[in-house]
Amino acid sequence: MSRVFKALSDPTRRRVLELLRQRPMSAGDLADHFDVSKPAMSAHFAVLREAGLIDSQKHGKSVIYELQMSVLEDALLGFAQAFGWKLQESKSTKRKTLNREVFNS
Amino acid sequence: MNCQTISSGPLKFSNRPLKMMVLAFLGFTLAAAALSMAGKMGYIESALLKRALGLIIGAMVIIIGNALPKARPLNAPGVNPPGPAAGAERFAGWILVVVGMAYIALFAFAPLDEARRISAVLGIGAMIYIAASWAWMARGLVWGGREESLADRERAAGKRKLILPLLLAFCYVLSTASMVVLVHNRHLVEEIGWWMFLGFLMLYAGLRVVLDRKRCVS
Repeated sequence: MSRVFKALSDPTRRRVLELLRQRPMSAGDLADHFDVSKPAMSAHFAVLREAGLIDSQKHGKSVIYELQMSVLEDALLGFAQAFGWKLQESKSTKRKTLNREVFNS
Repeated sequence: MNCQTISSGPLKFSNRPLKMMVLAFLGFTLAAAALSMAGKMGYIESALLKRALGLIIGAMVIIIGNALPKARPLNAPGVNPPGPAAGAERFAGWILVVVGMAYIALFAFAPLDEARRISAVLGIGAMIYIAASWAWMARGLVWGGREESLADRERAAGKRKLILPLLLAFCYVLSTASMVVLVHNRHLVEEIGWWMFLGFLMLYAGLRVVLDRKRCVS
């Protein structure tokens, strides 16, 4: 459950979930909605996938993401959107994300 | 023209939400059976037994409803449009969770007769609404749907192998429980129960045939 809270703590990831609520989308289509580098976007997708909130399928060259949330997770997302939760990520998590971004770029 | 039958391969029990749904269904059904036995043997008084069974069914409805959108029962590439299908699953999940919570509130606090009547109507209403909206969603079965890759369809068929009988068994238990409350004639209940069992079996067989049928790609 802590993975779910961590995934929902970030506004970008919440926006990704909101977009996927409309329809399944490719990684490129999703990235177009954000002013974030591709490696950072990949890191966000990885966090969401680890938490089990999204599922990915390969279609030719593109990866299609689709929502995979339980009712409880959906309700948590609704609360997070309504009250704008910004949970503190631990220092180690931030360091890991930063290292991954530097490594990928 | 190339025709292929969908084969789902060996049954995989690795899908977590599906596993949770199966375990919840089996666990609560066993608990309900054990309670009924205890009631028949005289260990639990009738009113308490009925309340306990209502609470158990409520909890089962909540757990299955919660995991429903994650298990993706409507994921049938080439038959359902993916976006609306996911929306229908999510809405069905929400309906079941709210109905389950209503069951628990009713059987915990309301007078027993009222609780049984209202819960039966709620349960049957929810099932009819979900069945109708899902049938509308799967209208691609009639029109032929879009062609999708065989790998995608086989992946979905693997999940369906477990979710389909589970959902039908769940509907059977819920509708039987509701019918026992609404129909007071015991003989009639047994007869309707038997026909419902046959109906659900035939529905399962029909769905398997239609969903796993040969698709031809020209």
